[in-house]
Amino acid sequence: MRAAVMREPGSVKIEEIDQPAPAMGEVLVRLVATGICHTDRSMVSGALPAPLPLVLGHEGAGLVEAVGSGVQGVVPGDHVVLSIVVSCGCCYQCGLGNLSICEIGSEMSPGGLMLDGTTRLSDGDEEIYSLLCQSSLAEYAVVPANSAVPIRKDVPLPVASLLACGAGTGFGAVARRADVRAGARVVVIGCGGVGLSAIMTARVRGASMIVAVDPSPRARALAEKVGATHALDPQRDRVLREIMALTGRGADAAFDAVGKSGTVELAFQCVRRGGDVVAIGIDDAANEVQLDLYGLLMQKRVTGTFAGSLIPRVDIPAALDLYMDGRLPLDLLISETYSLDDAPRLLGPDFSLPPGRAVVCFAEPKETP
Amino acid sequence: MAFFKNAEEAYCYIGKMFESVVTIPDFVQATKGTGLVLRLNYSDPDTVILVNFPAQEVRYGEAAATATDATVDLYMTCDDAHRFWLGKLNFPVAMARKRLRMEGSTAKALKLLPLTKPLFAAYEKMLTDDGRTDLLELA
Repeated sequence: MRAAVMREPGSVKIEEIDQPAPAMGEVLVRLVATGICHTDRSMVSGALPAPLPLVLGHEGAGLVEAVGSGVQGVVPGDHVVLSIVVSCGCCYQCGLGNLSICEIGSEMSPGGLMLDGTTRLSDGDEEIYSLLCQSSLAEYAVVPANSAVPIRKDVPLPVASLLACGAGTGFGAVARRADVRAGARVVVIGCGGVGLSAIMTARVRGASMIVAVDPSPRARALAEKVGATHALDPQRDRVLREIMALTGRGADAAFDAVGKSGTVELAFQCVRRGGDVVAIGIDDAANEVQLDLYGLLMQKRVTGTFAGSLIPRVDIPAALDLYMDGRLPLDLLISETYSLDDAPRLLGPDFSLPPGRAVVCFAEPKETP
Repeated sequence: MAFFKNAEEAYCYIGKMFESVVTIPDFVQATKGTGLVLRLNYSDPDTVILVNFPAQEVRYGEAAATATDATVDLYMTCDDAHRFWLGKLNFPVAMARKRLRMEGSTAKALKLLPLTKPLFAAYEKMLTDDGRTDLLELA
């Protein structure tokens, strides 16, 4: 099969490698669409450590081709979203319902391994590592069955793919990690795919004021299109002053989808006493955060989320129902589509990703009856 | 059989490699203000090295083991440490397979990431200069 392979930081090539086969508890999926996420680019640039060689891609959707032994709830022909929530279903964290920080999945998937500690990808005798148990910038992917989420078949798979990572993260950050009630005043810092999906989810939850913060005019325009009531440019506006003026006492919740130096601190300063701050993004894993202790004593709550803390088989179908109802305009996030051959360029330092999502589309396979 | 005969040999190469780099201006600049105090806890043979980057200081043995200012602790075997400092250990995979373990600030530990290539080069040069091709071949 063809796949986007990184053998050293900064270099991605489309290579012919072996088609993987699913082991027990795993699913083989033929990809139809895969979003390009900043995490892919951070791994290519070296800002995030990557197991090498690696097949990139972790925002995929496609059709189930085959299932390994013991798999229940997914059958060949199903349309699936490949969630980056990789869970064993058995560990302490899974028992608590914290699937996104599963003790096995959160160890194995950053190390390029499947849940059993081995790899499925290879090129002859050479082992190739997978990205977040997925590696969906390839014609086929093998994923743990818990990560293959069956979805309704009337949803376009490029739209559905966004919920695998970016849109799922923004959706879950609002729906699962903060107290966003009807009438809430919300700030979203960073209006890429994650931030935009947080904005549309806040709107679905009934937020009456949603302030989007992003230096890109295109991103701010998109933010307003998906539900932001106000949009601020951090390079021009006094963001904190504007938010205080708009909200009176500070926002009820602030979401940082950027993760650069100072952005969590800005979110912290934006919220009212007792408000929620949710860190969603990370620009560089070496970044640190410095907060006022007094703000914590004033009961501001700071948390973070990996993958939106989603319960994939509950939240992803729910989000797609909202999309089909016209209430969660995920399709607006797809700004441009590409082919797999474009992946090296999309992941390179010279390409500027558009606001929303660039999505790689594969030739759609004919469904088997 | 382990690559290093004893802790002294590990100190002699891995420790000295750090001693040789902590005062290099690029390292001083890159680690300035990071608060990165790295304690390397190696086993087989048992070896403890503390590298205080801001203070440009390396401590060994008991003085390293009992230090209270470490911000990151790394645990692995001496053999894996040798492979690692030669750039031959796949760090994320080794973490996943629990061949190495880290305690403390991940963010501080990752500040070392841009510096690993010069560290790998310094370690290899030290072994080469000392005629330890046996250690280079073992990895």
